Order: sequence, then structure tokens, then C-alpha cells
Amino acid sequence: MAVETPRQERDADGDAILRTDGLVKQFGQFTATDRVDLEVERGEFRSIIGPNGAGKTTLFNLISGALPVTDGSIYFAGEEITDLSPPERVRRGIGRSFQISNVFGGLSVRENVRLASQAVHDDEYTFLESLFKPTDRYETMNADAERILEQIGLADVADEQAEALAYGDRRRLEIGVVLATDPDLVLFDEPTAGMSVEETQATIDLIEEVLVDQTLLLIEHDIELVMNLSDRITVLNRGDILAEGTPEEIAENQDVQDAYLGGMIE
Amino acid sequence: MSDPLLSVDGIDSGYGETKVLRDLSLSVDRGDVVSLVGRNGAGKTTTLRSIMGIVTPTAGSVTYRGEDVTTLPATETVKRGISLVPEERRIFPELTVMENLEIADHGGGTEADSLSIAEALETFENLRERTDNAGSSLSGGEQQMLAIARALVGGADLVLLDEPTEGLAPYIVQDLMDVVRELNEQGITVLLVEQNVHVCLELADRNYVIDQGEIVYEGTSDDLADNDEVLDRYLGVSV
Amino acid sequence: MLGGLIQQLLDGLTIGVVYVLLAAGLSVIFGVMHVINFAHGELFALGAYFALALIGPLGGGTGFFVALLVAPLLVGVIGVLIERFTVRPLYGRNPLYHILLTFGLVLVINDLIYVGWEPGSVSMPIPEFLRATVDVLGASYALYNLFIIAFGGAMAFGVWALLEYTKFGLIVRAGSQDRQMVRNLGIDIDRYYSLVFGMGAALAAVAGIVLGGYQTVSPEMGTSIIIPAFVIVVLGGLGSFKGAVVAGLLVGIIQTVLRTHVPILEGLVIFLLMIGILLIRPQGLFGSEAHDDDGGELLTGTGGVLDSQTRTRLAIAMVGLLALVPLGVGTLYSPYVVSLVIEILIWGLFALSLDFVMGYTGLVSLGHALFYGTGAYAVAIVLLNVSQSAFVAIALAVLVSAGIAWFVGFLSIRVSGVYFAMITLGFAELFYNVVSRLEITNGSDGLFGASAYYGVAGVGVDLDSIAIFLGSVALTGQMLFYYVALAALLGAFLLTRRMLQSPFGSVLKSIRENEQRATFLGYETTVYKRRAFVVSGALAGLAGGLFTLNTGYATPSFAHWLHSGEVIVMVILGGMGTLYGPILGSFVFFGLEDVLTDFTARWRLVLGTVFVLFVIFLPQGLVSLPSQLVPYLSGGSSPETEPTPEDPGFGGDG
Repeated sequence: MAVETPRQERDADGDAILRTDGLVKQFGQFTATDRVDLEVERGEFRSIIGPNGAGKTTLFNLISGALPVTDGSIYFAGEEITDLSPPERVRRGIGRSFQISNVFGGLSVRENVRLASQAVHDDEYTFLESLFKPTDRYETMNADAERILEQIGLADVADEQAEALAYGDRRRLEIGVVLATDPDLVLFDEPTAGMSVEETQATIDLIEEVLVDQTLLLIEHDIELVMNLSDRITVLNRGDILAEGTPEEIAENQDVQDAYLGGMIE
Repeated sequence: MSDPLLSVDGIDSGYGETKVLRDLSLSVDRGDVVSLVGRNGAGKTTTLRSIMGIVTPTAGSVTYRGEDVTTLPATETVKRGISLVPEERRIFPELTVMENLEIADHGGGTEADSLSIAEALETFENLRERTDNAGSSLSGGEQQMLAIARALVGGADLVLLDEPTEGLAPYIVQDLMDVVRELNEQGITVLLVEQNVHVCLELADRNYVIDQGEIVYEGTSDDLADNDEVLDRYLGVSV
Repeated sequence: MLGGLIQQLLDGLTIGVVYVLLAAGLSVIFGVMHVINFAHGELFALGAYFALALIGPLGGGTGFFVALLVAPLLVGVIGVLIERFTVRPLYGRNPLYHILLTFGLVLVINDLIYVGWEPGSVSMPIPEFLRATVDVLGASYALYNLFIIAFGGAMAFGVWALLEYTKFGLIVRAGSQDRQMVRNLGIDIDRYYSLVFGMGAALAAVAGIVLGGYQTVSPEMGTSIIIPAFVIVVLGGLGSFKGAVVAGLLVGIIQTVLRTHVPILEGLVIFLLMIGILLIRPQGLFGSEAHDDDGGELLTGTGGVLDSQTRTRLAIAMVGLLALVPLGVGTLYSPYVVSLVIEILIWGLFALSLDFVMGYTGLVSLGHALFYGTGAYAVAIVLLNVSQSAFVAIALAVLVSAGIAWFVGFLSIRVSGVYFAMITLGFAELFYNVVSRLEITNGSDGLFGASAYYGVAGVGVDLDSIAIFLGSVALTGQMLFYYVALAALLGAFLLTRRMLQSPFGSVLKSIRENEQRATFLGYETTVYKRRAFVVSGALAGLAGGLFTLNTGYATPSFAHWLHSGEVIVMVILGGMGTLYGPILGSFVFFGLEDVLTDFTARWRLVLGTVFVLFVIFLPQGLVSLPSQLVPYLSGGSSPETEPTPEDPGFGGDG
């Protein structure tokens, strides 16, 4: 499977958009994240891989604020965000993509996107306006939503209920909603889980197409996909970083081979 | 050659409108360890739930010992000798180890007489000293052992193991594999669901690879270990 | 002194043991089935009445003991039937539907008691030898109380042993931790649900009988004990038997000691305790980790049969029709009709206010009568003490209600689901107890005789002293107030509708759909929920204020939990999440009451039955009836599938 990666041609400009410093998360006796120092550069496509239970999703939950950290700190765009609430992190530019069943099924496609853009354009309304001025009368917010609807190719079905959309369209909507939160960094947790090869390809194409300016952080099981897409790969094992490097470096890393990739196959 | 102990023939299954399994077939012979291996979301757990009767297939059939059990609820399939050791073990956290075993001991079971609690504690010796401890105080490995013991006390001939190694340290995975081997030698048939192909290759007589709710490969462990294309394409194990 | 203290302690234990019997059943039922059973108090009362019926022919000696054995069995059977036929169809839905269902059952059973027995208190004949007194450490003490302590204690011990040492108990305990796993082990746990419910009902009946012998038996005994019983269950921890025992005895003793020494605090302290526990440790003293109600969403009304233009026309026509109502007085009907419709409009406003939080953010307030009561008392106090201006009084009522809603919301909105429902119930009961005791609210009698003029600073009109002539009809007094109420309802409807079309409303709708996702779009959802709660509280306060403005009185019963329950009934009857549904619900509620009272004094029985059927078969309410019927009429089958106990989404099975 060959996937084009325009991102690899851009060079990252060298400053870290996300940095974690000795990040620790414990659940009771169990240490899910064990002093992780992660640094992601602006513009990068970074993948995080590792065996089940390595702590990938926990790491995402810490970065997005869904879980409080036990110890350590998180910096985003140079500022510490360790104790900020999840919505505050979203407003600072950390977007998070969910499974597609997470779009607002009872709302229209347009409302889904507009809700995200409404959160970004909260300077377009005063408190009183937010209570009484109908949503379709805000220019910037709506223009933004329409532009994204065009971009993800759902402008024609904007008035339909999201739950009525076909599987692929719902995936497009999900990515559109993330895009509308105007993120600088997007966290993807297995965006292609349960998809066929074709659906996976289409999803990756869409991500590549609409999230050109964003830094991407991806958790993914599909090693081949990761190898093709990523600028750099971080391998987690038992809550800690086992290795980090370019796809080529990771493929050749003996530790990674032993712990994860093919160690037990004779 | 006798009929298989369990045979799943062309089932469709899923939740509500979402179809997870498509025309899935597999069979398990008496006394074998058979694995069902695949990625997250491939349909492994749904297969087990469909066999068990927690989910009822919308097409196809499940036959156990020659009896059609497709539409039986879980409470009935258990009585016929199939037992599920679910993902994340689902030990009753506030019951003691002993109570966790007692609740399963309902005098059911079929040809392989169900293990008495005393016998189960013989086999799982690390549980023996902890019979009065709460389920929640056990480590992950101990919980997994307890979950298996619970299934055997309930009189299982066929044990459905759902991702038993998930989240366990490597040396505990070794212990667990020893236990599965030992049980198999005692005549228990095992259908093992795993993401970790290495565990399957070590334990299983035969392996099914599942992807997108369909069986895409069937073969012995030796054959699977040599099949780079399947390993790479469906299991994400690059060699 | 010591004798007095021991006497209080024993009195406290007597009540405490009764609480334990009640709360143990409630708690185990919640633990296993996640059902909050409001009808538990009625089963308690039913036990006492069955006992009375049995003792009658047999006499107070042996009869009492026969009753103590047989009445709980009968109530237990009723419990089994209730579980089988009303509770069971709702497994898999949000647990809040069980609250609604059992509230309907309260209306039904309570009225059945009135059908079978005379209203008013009667005393329960107890065996002669138990009437004696004995010396306890120098103080003479009623033997019957010691009997309650011993017998109730033995019962509680028996239940504990049953849960701890029998297979039945093992299955019940396992079931409260992981139901699906119990099924996976080959145990048909659904069969046990009926038994657990029956056991809880029987325990409640025992409690009713022994307390009936201590105090008196009255039809209200169930509605007055259920709230303390909930407080105990919450304190001890939802689902914990041990918690029910400890908290039951504790509350019994605290209440008795306070009644003697600091009577003003009795009834307040336990609610403060309950609110405090819910805020600090929602799982209670002995409960395991907090239960999430992940049992499926609240079902909102579905319209969609008519296009929007037709709907607008229909709405205008309805308002027009309503505006004509006072004109028919004297020719078509008596002035009573106007006062009835005023009440409907005010309760329609009240129901709309609740719908705004319940239907749009999923916050089920079980104590919304708190805000209605606040508005009513604010108007009465202002009119009687500060200013007779209706405008000033209403403005203050709305402000104070909004303020209290902000305060309650500030404290409670971070706890969710069942706990939020309980906390709002606690605040409302606290208010009820406070206004029943304060001098400024004239205690349990309430405030009367408040009159107002419409204007400010002494300039304005009194509705009774003016008349507006429309042809031959003279509009005066109530007929003029009618338009005030209609305008208020219409205004509130337009205001909330506008809000729902605004950015604020969009966020509320997204919270209803999926709160976590709304958070990850960048919304502080608790802030939005709190704002919605303030709007809702203000409108409820407006409704209560209008009622007092019209009638001139305010009593503690305005904040009673039955009031809160009735307004929920209206919201569900009409259709949640639609704004106009609750108004329709108010019309149906009072319409039914009005029609039924012509035929029977037991209208609550009929209404309760209708409501129970609604919760089971048409939870989306009347407004969805057309869209539900369309598939049938066009020959298709129902779009709804019956929920089953197997539903994978039911709490804890995830």
C-alpha cells in the first residue's frame, strides 16, 4: 500500500509544539505512563506505536486533559498546560478526533461543524448575543462552517441528520468537526480501526488533504501505514518510550524488534 | 473422523444496524486448542459473544455437540458446557476469591465432570492462599487465573478465552500459557482469541485469522508462522 | 438526665430500625437493578393497611402476629408483580425512567389505599402484653418499642445472613457488580430481579406494620417516610446493605435527639447531611464506586409530522383560541373555567421551565418545586411586607429563584444522573422544612392574603377594581389576570425557543447528544448547564410567583416532592425536549383531573395508571403520538423495538 506523504517534503521548522516532561500516570498500583519525555515538532506527522497495554491511549488522555497527570508536566506551544481543563486545551489548539459514532447524531451535518466553529469564534458574540441572537446570523462562524463543509465534500448533505449519513461520510464529518476547532495539533486514536483497506486509504487521504497545516499525532496498529505516513515514530512499551526515530531507524532498531515487531517468530 | 465439538457455519452477527461478522465459519475439534487472531475491531469478541449467545446471529448457525445452539441465551449455552472467560476477566471485585468460584458452581457441566472448587484450587495454587481476599485485590495475572478457574468450576468442556494475555507482564504470560497447556492435556478444549499472534503460535493446533469480520486464513501454527503475507497484511507483524 | 438520654436513644433506635428495614430493601433493589423505587413508601403503607385488615377479624393478640407474617408476604407478591409487569419493560433505558415509573405507582397505590380504607389516622391494635412498660436503667420504657428494636434487628440480621451466606445472596451480590457476567455463568439473573423486588417490598411492609403499631396508620405515611428513606440510602451508599443499616440507625437517633433538644433543626440536618455527602462522596459512606447511568439516553419527543409553516399556524390558532377563553364566562361556562385554565397556564410554564433543563441538557431535577416555591414565597413576602406592586414582587421572585438556582447549580451540576436528581430533591426538601419552621413564612400554615396592584411606586391598577368591556362581556379580576398568565407563558416559550436557536442553545443540544464530545470542541459544559439551570429556575420561580399573585397565598406544600413529581409527569406526558409538549402535558394533566373528579374522587389512580402506561409504552410523550402512529396507519410495523433486560448498555455491564 503506497500512500503519498506530502508532509515528508516539508521540513519541520525545529520548534517543539508539544513537550512532555517526566510524565507519570498511575492507576492504583499500576503505572500506565512511566516518566515519558516526548517532544513533537511543529508540522510533524508523528506516530505512536506499541503493544497492547503500552500506554498509548493513556498518553493521549493526558495530553488532551481527559485524565489528570500523577506527576510531570505538559507544554504546548511553549506554555505549560498540565493543569488546564480539556476545553481550555482545545481552545489553545489541541484537537482530538474520536470514533465516528461520536458525532452529534441528532443534529444536522451543518450544526455539527458549526458547533465546532462556534467555539473557535467566541469573539464574534457577546454573552447576551450568545443567548438571544440566532446562530445563523453570525457571519464569520457560518462562513467558516460552510468552507469546511465544502472542503470535506459534505455541503450537499449539510441539512441532513448526521446519523443518517453513510459510514464514509460520517468519517469525513468527524474530520471536518476536528478541523473546525482550528487545531494546531490533532490527536488521532486509531482513526482507521475496523476499516477495510480502501476505507483506510480514503481516510488517510482525507486527513492528508484537509489537515495540511496541522501537526499530527497518531496512534495506530497498522505498522505498514505508520511506516509509510510518519515523519517520526515513537515506540511505547510498558508506559515508557522504548525507541524514537524515523521509520527506517525504527524498522532497524533491535530493541523494537525484540519487544514488539517480530521477536518471537523463528 | 468425528464431528467437531463446535462448529460455526456462516454466521452474520452484530449490534443493532452495525454488522460485525459476515458469513463467518469455523470449527473446533474436541481436545484442540484453536486460536482466532486478528486486530482490534476485527470481530473476535463478537464471534465469542455470538457462540455464547450474548449476541444472537442474524444468519447462519452455531452447533455444539451436534445440537443447534444458535438462538440459545448465554444462561443455556453455559449449561451445555461452553464457558466464556471474557476480556478484562470480569472478576466480581467485591466477592472473595472463594465466592467468585462458588457462584459458578451450579452443578452444571457435561461429560468432563466439572472441577470441584477444591480441585480448581489444586490446579491454580496461587489462588489457594488468597481464597478470602476480595477479587479486586488480585493482580491482573491472578484475576486471569481466577477467571479460568471460575469457568472450569462451572463445568466447561469448551473454554472461550478472550484476550487472556492483555496487559500482563511477559513472565505471567508464560505462566498463563503453561496453565492453558495443562488444562488442554486434561481434556479441556480451548478457543483462544488473541491479538498477540505469538501466543497463538505457541499454543494453538490450528489458527484462524480474522479481519473485517471474515475469516481470511486458516492453518496450523507452523504454516501461519511461515506465511509472511498473512502476518504482515492482517496482523501487522512485519518480519 | 441519664434516663432521659437513654429514652431518646431507645426512641431513636426504634425509628432507626424501621428505617433500616425500609432502606435495606431500597438499597438492594438499587444495587441489583439500578431502580430507584419511589413506590417503596407506598408498599410500606400497604403493609400497615393489610395488617389492619387482618387484625380486624382476628383481634389484636394473635391477629397482630399473623398479620406480621401474612401482610409482608402479600406485599411481597405485589412487589413481584410490580417488577414483572411495570419495572421489567424498562430495563435498558435510562434509570431515570424507573424514577418516573415508580412515581406513577405512588399515585396509583396511594389512591388504592383511599379506595380500600377510610382517610385519616387509625391506630393499629397491638397485643396486650406489648403495651406494658419495663424499667430500663431506672427509666420506664414501652415494651413495644423494645419489641420493634428486637424484631426489626432480627429481620435485618436475617437479611444480612441471607445475602452473605446463601446462594441467593451470592447471586444478588454478584449481580449488583456485574450482571452480564452472572448470566455468562449460566445463572438467569432476571428471575432473581422479581425476588429481590419482592423481598424489598416485604421488608417495607414489615417496617410499615411495626411503625404503624408505634405511631398511627394513615394514607400519607408512605409519602412522608420515603424521603428520609432515600436520605438514608444515599448516606449509606446506593446499593450497600451495610450502609443502609448504619445510616438508618444514625438518622433515627439524630432525628430523635434533635427533636428533643433543637427542634428547629429536625428535618434540616438530615438533608444537609445528604447534600453534603452527595457533594463530597457521592457513593456514600459504604457504597462502592459511583454508579454511572449509562443506560441509554432520555427519550425526547419527536414531532415531524407537520411542516413548520403548518405548525406555526397551528400555534397561532391555539394562542388565539386561548385568548378567547375569558369571553365565554357567564354565557358558555362559569368563571371556574378561567381559574382552571390559569392554573394550567401557570403549570404549563412550570413544566416548560423543567423541560428546558431536563429535555435539553439531560439534567433531571427531582426538586424543581424548590424554585416554584421560592417564587411563590418571594411574591407573598414582598407583597405582605415590602411593596404591593405586582411588578416589584414578580421581578424579585424571578431574581431570587434564579439566584437559588445558580447556587444549587454551582454545587450540584458536577455530579450527574441519579445523584443530581437526589441532590435537587434534597434541596427542595430542605426548603420545604425551612419554610415550615420560619416565622417570616408563617410556618406550616403558610402566608395568606397577599394582594397586589399592577404598577410601581403606588401608581397602578387593582385588577379587581377595574373592568374592561368587550361588547357585553366585562373583563375583571381573574379574567384580566388570565391574560397576565397567558402573556407570561407565551413570553417564556418565545424566550426559550429563541435561546435554543442561539449559540447557547446549540451548545445545550450538543450536551444532550454527547457531553464528552462537546467538551472536546472547547466548551466548558458545566458552565452551560449551570446557565440553563438558572434560566429554568427563574422561569419556575415566575410560575410560582404568578400563582401567588393570583391566589394571594403560599404554603410549604408548594415545595413538596409530590409537586416536583407532578411537574415531571406533565413534561413526560406531553413530550420532553419540545417546549410545547410540557404545556400540552399540563392541559392533559389538569383536564384529566377536572373530568375525572366529576366521576370519582380517585382521579390520581386513573392519572397514575395513564402515566405508568405512558412511561412504558410512549416515553416520548403525546407530541410523538402522531409520528408513532404513522407507521401503523401506513401498514408498517412500529419503529420502536422493545427494550429487553439483555440490553448491553445497562449500567455496569459495559
